[in-house]
Amino acid sequence: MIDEKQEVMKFSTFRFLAFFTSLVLFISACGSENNSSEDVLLKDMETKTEHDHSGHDHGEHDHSEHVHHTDEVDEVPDASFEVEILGGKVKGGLPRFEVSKGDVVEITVYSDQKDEVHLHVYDNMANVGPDISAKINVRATIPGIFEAELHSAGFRIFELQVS
Amino acid sequence: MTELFVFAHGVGGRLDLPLSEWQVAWAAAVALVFSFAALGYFWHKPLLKKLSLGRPAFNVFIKASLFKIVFRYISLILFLVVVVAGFIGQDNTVANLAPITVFVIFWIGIAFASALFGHIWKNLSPWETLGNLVDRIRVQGREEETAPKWLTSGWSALLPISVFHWFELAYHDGASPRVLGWWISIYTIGLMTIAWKWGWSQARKAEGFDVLFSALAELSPFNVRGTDSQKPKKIYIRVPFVGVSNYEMTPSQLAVVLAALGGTAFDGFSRTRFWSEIIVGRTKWELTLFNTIGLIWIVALVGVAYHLAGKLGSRTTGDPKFSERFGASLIPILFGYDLAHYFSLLLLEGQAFKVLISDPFGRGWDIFGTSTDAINWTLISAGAIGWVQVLSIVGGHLVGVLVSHDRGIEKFELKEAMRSQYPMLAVMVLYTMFGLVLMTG
Repeated sequence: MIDEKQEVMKFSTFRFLAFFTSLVLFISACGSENNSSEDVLLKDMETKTEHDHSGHDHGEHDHSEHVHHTDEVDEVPDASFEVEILGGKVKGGLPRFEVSKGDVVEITVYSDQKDEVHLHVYDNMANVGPDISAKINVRATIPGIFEAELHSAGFRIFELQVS
Repeated sequence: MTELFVFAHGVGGRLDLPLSEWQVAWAAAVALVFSFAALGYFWHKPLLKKLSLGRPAFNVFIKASLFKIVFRYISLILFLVVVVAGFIGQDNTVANLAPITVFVIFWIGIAFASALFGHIWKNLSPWETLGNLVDRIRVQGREEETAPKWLTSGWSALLPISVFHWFELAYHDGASPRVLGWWISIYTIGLMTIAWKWGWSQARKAEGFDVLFSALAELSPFNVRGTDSQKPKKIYIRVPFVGVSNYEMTPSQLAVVLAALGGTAFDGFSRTRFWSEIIVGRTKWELTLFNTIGLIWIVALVGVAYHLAGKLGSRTTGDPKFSERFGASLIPILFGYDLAHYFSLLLLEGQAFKVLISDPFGRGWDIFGTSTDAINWTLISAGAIGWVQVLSIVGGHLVGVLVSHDRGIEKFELKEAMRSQYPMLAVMVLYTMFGLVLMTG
């Protein structure tokens, strides 16, 4: 009686182990495209924000002139995007900018109010205001979707999808 | 710039990439085929309960309790450090130790560790330590009052879980260190007051995290049985995940599991394009209001779906305790959801813990020499994260179906057992498909 029970147990244990082993093998087979982990030093990504508020009194949007660089990536961008905030709203809804891993990306932010743009994880920051547009330059080395927000206003203004 | 960073989901700012459509389609197909196979081709005699007993591995050294005491006090010290950091550390979500410890190390880390190693929270919980202390200093001679119904029924455990979800997912300032400091303090004082009045063994029923982590611990391949005095304690090793088939749930425990499932689902939902377009531009209390409505809506959806399945099952099988009987099959599904949503958070954002623990109060300390370490954001590839997500959602579904099938066979005649599975399969397929859709962003 007890022997029989144990045998049933042994058999079914085996079946289950087989099932889960194959599951684990499956996972490891699929996950084998693991990239060699390249350390992305937060320090390196730290922004060199320059505060340049020197005498711009022509209040109109003159984007090309008042570009505000945050992180220098001295290369021609593979992709450039623009986002405009008017009256506390992102014009045209929340955009999601899709780029490929390794791309050099340039995002220009225009806003009718003074604030600070922050792209999470990449940790780029740039000042923005009616007379100053924020330009965020990054090399998209980390995959994922990253939120960018206005600090004082406290809402998301775009998402950067790196895949 | 030390303004408060605002995060949408506890801590974050990074989301996983959406799954590709073909991945999701395959996952859904596997889940569906497996569910139907369960009706016709699975075993006809209960199997998992026996498996869940496992085999004795080795005696637990009673003196290993020294080990336990060390962990218990490390945990208590960490708890106190986190509360203090919440109050006096930098008032900045990413630069303070409290948010990362609460939302990642505690909420996700302990949940995963419970599923892996079993009932560890009982040995680590600072509330357990403090509660036992309160028990010891209570006036022993006084007449024992009987605890009120709201406590003994176990339903009070739902409160801390719901409040936690609200802070994590809905309240706009929920990840602020100060808010967390207050929240932990109020919860601790509340629990200890209950312990003072009716004893810790009663107060523990209101410790929602203990209820939730205990449910997840039933999935563990390790199981300790026996008491110190009678039989020596032994560790039994069993097949992973089958332990839940031996787990009888009360309605309140079921509710806690469903609330956790609903909260995790809303977390996924709030990351979709659909939701971010609804909340874009909304801030402060307006944002809180929208997220609160969304949270309640999704939790209700998850809860009502199971309630209806339970009612239908009761009617077709005549079993009034249908919902509770099959509740255990939701635990692997919850674990699958948890893994899918939070695995990368623990692995990537979790690294911030080792940085911040070196300088817990933001005073420029470097206790462990790790305060200037960098976070390795490419520790695991986006592709690997995607596969873990798909496999954990589908894996949770498969185990859920197995457990539900086994429970049906155990209780009913074969034909009725099959009939009992229709509502269960329906609700599980619903959760799984919903989970997969959320993963497509």
